[in-house]
Amino acid sequence: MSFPYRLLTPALALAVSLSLPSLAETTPPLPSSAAQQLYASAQQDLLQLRVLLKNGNSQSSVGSGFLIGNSNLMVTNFHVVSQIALEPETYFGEYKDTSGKSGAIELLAVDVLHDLAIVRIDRAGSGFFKVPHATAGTAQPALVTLNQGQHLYSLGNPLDLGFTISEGTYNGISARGFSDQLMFTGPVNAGMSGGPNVTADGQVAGVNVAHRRDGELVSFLVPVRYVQALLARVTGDMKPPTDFKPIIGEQLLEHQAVMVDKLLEKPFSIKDLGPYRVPVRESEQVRCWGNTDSSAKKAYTIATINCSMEAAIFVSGEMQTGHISMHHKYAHNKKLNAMQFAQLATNMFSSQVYSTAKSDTITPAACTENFIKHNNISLRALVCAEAYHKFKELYDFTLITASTDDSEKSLQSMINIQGVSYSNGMKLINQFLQGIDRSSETDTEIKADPDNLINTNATDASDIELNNIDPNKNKPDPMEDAQ
Amino acid sequence: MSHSIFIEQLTPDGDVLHRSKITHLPITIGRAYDNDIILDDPHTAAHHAQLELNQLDELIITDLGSHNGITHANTREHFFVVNGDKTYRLGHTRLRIRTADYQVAAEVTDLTNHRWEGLLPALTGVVLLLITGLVSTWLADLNQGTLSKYLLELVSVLGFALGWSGIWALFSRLFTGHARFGRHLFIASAGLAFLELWEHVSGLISYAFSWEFLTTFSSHPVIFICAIVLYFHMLTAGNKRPGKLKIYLLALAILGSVITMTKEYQASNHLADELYMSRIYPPVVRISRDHSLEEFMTDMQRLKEKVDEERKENPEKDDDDAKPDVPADLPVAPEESEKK
Repeated sequence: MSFPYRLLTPALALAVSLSLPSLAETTPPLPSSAAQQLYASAQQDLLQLRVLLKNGNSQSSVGSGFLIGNSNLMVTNFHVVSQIALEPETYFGEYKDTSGKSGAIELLAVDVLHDLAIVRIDRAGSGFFKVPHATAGTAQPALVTLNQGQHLYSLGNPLDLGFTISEGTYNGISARGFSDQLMFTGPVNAGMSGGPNVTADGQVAGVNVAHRRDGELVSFLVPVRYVQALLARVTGDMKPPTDFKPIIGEQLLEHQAVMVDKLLEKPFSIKDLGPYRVPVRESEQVRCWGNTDSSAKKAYTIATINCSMEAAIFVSGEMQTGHISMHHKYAHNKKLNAMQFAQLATNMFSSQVYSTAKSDTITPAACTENFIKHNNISLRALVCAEAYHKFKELYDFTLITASTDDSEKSLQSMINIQGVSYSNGMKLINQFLQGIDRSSETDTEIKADPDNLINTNATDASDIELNNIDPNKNKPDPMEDAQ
Repeated sequence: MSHSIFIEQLTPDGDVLHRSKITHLPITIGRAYDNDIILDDPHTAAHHAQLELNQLDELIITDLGSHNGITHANTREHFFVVNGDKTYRLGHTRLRIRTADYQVAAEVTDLTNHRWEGLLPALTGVVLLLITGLVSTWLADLNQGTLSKYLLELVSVLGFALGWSGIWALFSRLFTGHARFGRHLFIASAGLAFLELWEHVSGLISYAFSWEFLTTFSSHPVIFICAIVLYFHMLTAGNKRPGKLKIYLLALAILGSVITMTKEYQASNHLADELYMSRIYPPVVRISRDHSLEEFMTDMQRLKEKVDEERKENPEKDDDDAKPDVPADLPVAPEESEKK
């Protein structure tokens, strides 16, 4: 009698294990017939793009791209081809289509801020991916309008496994960066970067660019209007620029002006940390979160406010720029001796800023430090500047300060600025320093103000993963053997 | 000649290996057994030299036709008029010849504290170590640690000092036959205590006067304190040439400093160990004046020149050549100028 039950148990287990994954994965719906049709008509113009080392021919980075209309122009992400733009003497590119044919590519134009690039190849498109555009300076034709919840399809070659189409939904515009990105709730994996994202009737909605590592299916697209704007500036028979660095430098310089103007369009908002007042900026682009560690066992309490821009501009694997973050730490003594508290303040203040002589991107830091007094506060302040080797007029800045007016309380602040002009760096640092203050009334203890602070986990640009494959990052480095 | 004459064989360092008293002249010196002074040096002749008085009643040392001869201060002569302060080299043998009426140098004041041996310095060292260990652990104890943490810290410091002094005591024993463990322990402990003290004093001074270099170049005083500790250890272990030892250790310390600075410079383009003064002390310690925000911003403006100098323009062309090419091919520039 027990025999059928014994058989039943493994059978049940098998059934559960088979059915569970399909039950769990409700978010990406089963491929619809629309996806089938789209892929069938799009595949001729869908390409994989590889960046290879001139020396050794081994691949360094892989992404996707698509041919525009009947032209020989292919759109992809800047980050896919950044190595070709910055080090053309070391890298070259190659495309591969769905039928396995390959050929050389030629980089024509880049838009670093929106992460777009246009390359020329030796064959023409079938006309499936249409991005209507007029020449630069004239009114551009209207583009597809999207509604939240609308089905969208991303195409590309994820993880170098083969060409795929994935379905998801459009979910509005993300304003976290200084330029819009479309939110696409669907899978966009590494390697699909630069691939097209289309509506069910085949109109280009955007270009796959990134996804959030800390989320599920939270992906981002570059809106098609930036593709349109970039296409308006190139022609199929133009001569490619010899050196992209000045072009990229100018785009970055232009961006930082917009970024700093936007950050400083109104004065920093002031928050209270104990008796101190600290400047923060909260906006669509800069998010803040706070934290207080005040366990009764500890001999001191520490409250922090961190503000950080969620978007940064990808220039190369070693260099992300156009990013600003601010940090405030407030330590309050409960049981420590004044000298011990000084040790705590020292520990907090030390090892925050480094200088390196080994970077190809930035110069070693040049720093100045002093005791300064302004408003009602005296501070020890250190500011370091670093210049970009390849891009004139662009600098990184770090300012750290520690309050020096109280043996029982220590306020330490930091602002990190990447990729701005020197005058804008000075402006930001001056404003930031102006904002640090101590309230004049001798009140005893105000708790760190958690109002308006989002108490989620910290996210910053490093959580956003760009969708090209860089084998150097993911694998134990297959390049080594080839060299 | 009724005076006694003393012939001393010296080490290259000038220590007396062997001293012979002579009462009659002339005498011969050499390897053969019929000499008055027999040398065991294969670089000397069987009958190498003769010591005698000349017509002027001066004591002279004469070469008896040896192959290697007699030299003084690297000059070979057939004979020398003997001077009690000088050394004559016969082959590899160094001889000094003095008569009984030689005026010896004055008595040297005994600076060695003979009571400062054994238990007394050892105990003082241990007490110093305990105080230093306790103070530094207490200062760094921000999480109100338990007693066991303090004990562990003390035991490890004490263990290190005992081991270190033990090794030096072994050296002393080998070289002088006297271990002097107590003294070595005191030297090690005093060194550690001084290092700890220096860290705090230098931090306080640099904070008080805003002298950043005192904390940013922190490793160099440490190197020199270590050299001083080594000096006393070696002196205790029986070194007889403190003058030379000082020079060697100073050279070693300078070399150490230079290596440290080179390493830092290659890694960070700065000679200092730290980029900035990270010490924070209570406000009462401050002596230097406050600066205004404007002064600070002026200082910051000055950094621009420095970093611009560091910028390396790769194999890339100068900006001035590159710019005119760009707008012709790519209409990026016109649009950008509009936005500005």
